[in-house]
Amino acid sequence: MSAMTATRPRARLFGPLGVAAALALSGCSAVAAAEGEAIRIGLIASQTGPGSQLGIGEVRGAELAVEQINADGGVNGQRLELITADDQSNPSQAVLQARKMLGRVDAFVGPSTSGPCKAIGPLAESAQVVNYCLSPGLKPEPGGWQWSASVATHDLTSRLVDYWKSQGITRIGLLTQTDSSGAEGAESTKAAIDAVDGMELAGEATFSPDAVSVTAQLQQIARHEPQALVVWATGAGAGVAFKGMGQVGLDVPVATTDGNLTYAFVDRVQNFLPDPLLIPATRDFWDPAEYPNDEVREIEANYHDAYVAAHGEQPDFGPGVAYDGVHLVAEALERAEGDAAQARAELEKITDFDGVVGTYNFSREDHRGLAEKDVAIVQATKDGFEFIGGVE
Amino acid sequence: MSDYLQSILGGLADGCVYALIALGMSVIYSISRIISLAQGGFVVLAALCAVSLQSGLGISPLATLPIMVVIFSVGMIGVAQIVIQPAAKRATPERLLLVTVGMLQAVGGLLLIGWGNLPYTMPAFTGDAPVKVAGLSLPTQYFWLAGALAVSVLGLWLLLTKTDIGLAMRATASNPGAAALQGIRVDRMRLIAFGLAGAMAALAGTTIVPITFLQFTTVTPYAVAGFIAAVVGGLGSNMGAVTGGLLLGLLQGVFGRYWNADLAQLTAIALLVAVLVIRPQGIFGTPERVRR
Repeated sequence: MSAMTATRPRARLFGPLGVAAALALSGCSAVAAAEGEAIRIGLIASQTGPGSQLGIGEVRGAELAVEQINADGGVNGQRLELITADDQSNPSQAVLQARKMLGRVDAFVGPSTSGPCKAIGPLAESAQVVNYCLSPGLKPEPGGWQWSASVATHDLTSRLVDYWKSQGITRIGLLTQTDSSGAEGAESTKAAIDAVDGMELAGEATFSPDAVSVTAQLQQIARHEPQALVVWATGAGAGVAFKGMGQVGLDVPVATTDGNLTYAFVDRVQNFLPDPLLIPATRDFWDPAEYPNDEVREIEANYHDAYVAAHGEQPDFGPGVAYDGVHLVAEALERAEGDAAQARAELEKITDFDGVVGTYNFSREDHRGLAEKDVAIVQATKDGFEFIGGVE
Repeated sequence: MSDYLQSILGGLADGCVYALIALGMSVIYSISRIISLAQGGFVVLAALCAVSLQSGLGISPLATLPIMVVIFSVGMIGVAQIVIQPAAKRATPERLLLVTVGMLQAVGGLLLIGWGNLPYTMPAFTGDAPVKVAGLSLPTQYFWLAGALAVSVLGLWLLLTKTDIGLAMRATASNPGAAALQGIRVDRMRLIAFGLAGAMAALAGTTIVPITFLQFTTVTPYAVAGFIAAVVGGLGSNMGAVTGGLLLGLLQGVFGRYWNADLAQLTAIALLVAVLVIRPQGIFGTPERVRR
């Protein structure tokens, strides 16, 4: 069967069922999916604690996907049900919540961050239940039961370095936080610089996530006269670095991790935004004119419009990965006719699946499904995120 | 050379905050024998209250400083009266340490509920443009931080050595039983110590937040850094607290110039632990204090 049409039946159905979808989204009691035994997805997200910046949006994105799937007829006519739990941004809580859900759910979506994802991996493995982790930081084992959301760090940094090269920027400074995400960002950025002729690492320093000031590290990097700076840190760490740049007079273009693709973060640092602040971002942040085809345009419009209608704001990083995660897992369960153990094999067979984050191509070896082609560069401004280029 | 000096000055700026936290802990410990780890939490609470005051009411960042000092002095006296003093009558100092750990967690929870998990900052007291001196780029807020520490040290010294209240506080620190027999209201002296610690928490939080971003997760690193500084300097020694804090910040800054930030932090702490192995009472502590 044609991958595109076979893997995206809901996209085709959405037009004719638009009225039903609108009714379901508006909270009316119309239920398009048949009643009876429901298919259940367990969503574990960090709704409280440090990860809640992502987790709250993830719950919203997953709920939106479930509403739309049910409005389009459910999973093989069975209603899709979402059971949500809060892991409090804590791996042990994630394990506790996953244990409570075992036997009740046909697949897991979440948790939000890599620590809790790693923690529930053995449970998903032993219970033979698919786990679509929402953190890009997880590196899933080929043939295992875990999947990882969004794009790998090396694809983000590779696209960024290529973009700067195209802009004539060849000397890149590197400032990273000493957590696992920062270490991976440092490694990937250096590999991306090494891979492109003429690019050069111009100064490198690290800082701890609880650092009060990074002016000394910035001075050290400034000595190497970089033309641009990568700050691979999230939240407060990135804010401290941006503020420090003004203090030491380092005025160069800056790029940061997609972990900062949240409106809350931009709002907090808006008075210290470097000019420009670039972020390698997935398709849900692109200009609609850059989408590969009309079908993707329709999927994105449907997602963005429904989210804005429900929550009064544009979705950021969290909702997109959860929305796609639920759609992908539901698709696998549909193909497996509700057999949770069979869903892994079916998920591995999904290719050319157009989600809102990108176009997924899974295989036994690739449990992420997205690649550099799904990344472009956006600029963070006081009003949000503005697409600036870098599409293949 | 200027890079090296910049690292030293950056480290000393962090050290000023650690020193203020340690000084607050030291004042409380010397008068009441309680190690208050909650001091790190109150620093962040003061910082975020100042940010809200500045952004919500449009008050200038500098004007939030005296307001926070007053609020936190009175607030800490209230916390001591409601939580610490009743607990102290029933629990040993070791168990009171757990009470202060609980308070630290409670402050962290309060920050998460009140301000969410987002980082906060506010404009510098006297402009964001740094001062250029001999090739060095110095945020003007560094001077305010150093000034806050200097005022705290000087004010405390004047209070303890030149006033009757200070004499009574020293008597309470030296021998609470004998002080009570002399008619000194020991509980009141302890409340004053908590009030002073509250003022120092407000000074530290309000002066550091313009050069950084703080959020609820910062409470524990601040509590740990302040505790290490206080112990290395000599628990109960005000001079020791200041020395310990500045030394910790300085070592972190200097080592951070050459090594990975985590390794630098670890090395700085290891070096200070080595000081304790050689001199268990800390740099300025006395053996009596350790035994007691």
